[in-house]
Amino acid sequence: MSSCDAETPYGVVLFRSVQAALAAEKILAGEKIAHKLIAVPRHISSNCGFCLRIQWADREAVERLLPAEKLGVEGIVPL
Amino acid sequence: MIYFDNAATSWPKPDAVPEAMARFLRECGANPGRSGHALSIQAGRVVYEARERVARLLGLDDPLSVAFTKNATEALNVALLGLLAPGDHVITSVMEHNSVLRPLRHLEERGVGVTRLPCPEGALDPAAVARAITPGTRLVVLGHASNVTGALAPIGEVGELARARGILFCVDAAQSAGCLPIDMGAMNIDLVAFTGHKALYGPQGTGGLCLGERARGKLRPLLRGGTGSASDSDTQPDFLPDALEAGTLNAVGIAGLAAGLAFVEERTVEAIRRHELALTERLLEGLRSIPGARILGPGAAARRVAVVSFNLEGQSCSEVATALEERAGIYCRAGLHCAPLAHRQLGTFPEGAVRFSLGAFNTASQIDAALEVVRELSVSAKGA
Repeated sequence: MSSCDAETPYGVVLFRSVQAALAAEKILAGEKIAHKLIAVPRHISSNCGFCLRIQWADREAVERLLPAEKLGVEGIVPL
Repeated sequence: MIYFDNAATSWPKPDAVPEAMARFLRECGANPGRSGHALSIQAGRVVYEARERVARLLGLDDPLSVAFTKNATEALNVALLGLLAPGDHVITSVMEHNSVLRPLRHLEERGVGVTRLPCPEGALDPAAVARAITPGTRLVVLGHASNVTGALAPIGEVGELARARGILFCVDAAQSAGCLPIDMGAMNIDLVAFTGHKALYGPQGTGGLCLGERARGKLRPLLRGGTGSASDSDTQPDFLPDALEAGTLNAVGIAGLAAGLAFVEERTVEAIRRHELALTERLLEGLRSIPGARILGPGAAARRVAVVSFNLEGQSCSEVATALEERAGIYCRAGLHCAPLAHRQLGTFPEGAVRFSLGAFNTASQIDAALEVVRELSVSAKGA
């Protein structure tokens, strides 16, 4: 376990488009992976839309489930 | 009252449509995607659900490639002005609505080559499309169904032809989306322009452009502005749908559109088509039995959507339409239907014709009642 895991249980998935974040939300809901749409934290990105908060421990599953190119995933970073 | 003007805008709407719009305004009327709070997210979900419904209905593989516009006209402008540049060549037909003809005339004046194929009796021959192709042909744009005669264009054949020749194919589905099956993938269609307020039973002010894989990344946007994404840059994003959706969307309209789409999905396009086909057959058969009635377009109902235009010998179309409304509360549309070249082709320019256009809520008894009045008008004209 990295130090990140110990300190921050959450991560956020960043998308280039708000509508893509909503598409991803439906995928994660279908797979019963805990998530929440939240405003993009200013310290992470200057975009004015929202991103998906996930359990940091789920990040690899999330990476597998979301088609990164199609949804324009810009990254998964610890919160 | 009998409403036969569904090709202009459908009416009535399913109750779920105004209900969804009122609910949106009362409960989640925030900006869909500009903020991160719960109301904004809820509004965004409503818009995304509408994208999914549109994609499913039209056989598009990716809901994010549905760009909402305020109507089919705007969608066609986005497609035509976004794609064509001086030196390009585009093929269309004389049966098109001004939503296609006027942007193309504008482009022609700026160096785009435009071929407008004649359509004897209103029918387009796919072989004529093949013959019109030049090395510079970039696009074929056709209406799926004529808003004057209801006639169906040979979309399947032209799609195959365009794909084989590496030419993009754009379909104006203003008169067909919701009442005729459309499958962008199977029919080799690269761009579909649709309106929300006709056979999708949504409100006015809604429509969109669907982009198949080959069309993505090829359109210059018509508008540039805020998208809620890439906010650190003053350059328009190049990804869909944001690239083509500058400014706040008509989210309340889209909420209504989603309810209209749900109505169509639940009833099914096939069942709506069967219902409208039966009514159209009844109407055509009745009109054919009225002396002095000249029907425009194909004789077989199966070759049309539920649009039937006609004239009565010795009477102007506007007189007939006024008499229909005054005698029996029948609402229809007389004139040129924003399709001047189609009426020239059909020999009804500049007088135009009376148009009955039907929808999911019309009934056989309404057809019979309208035919009765048309018959009376025909007889009274003869006696005059």
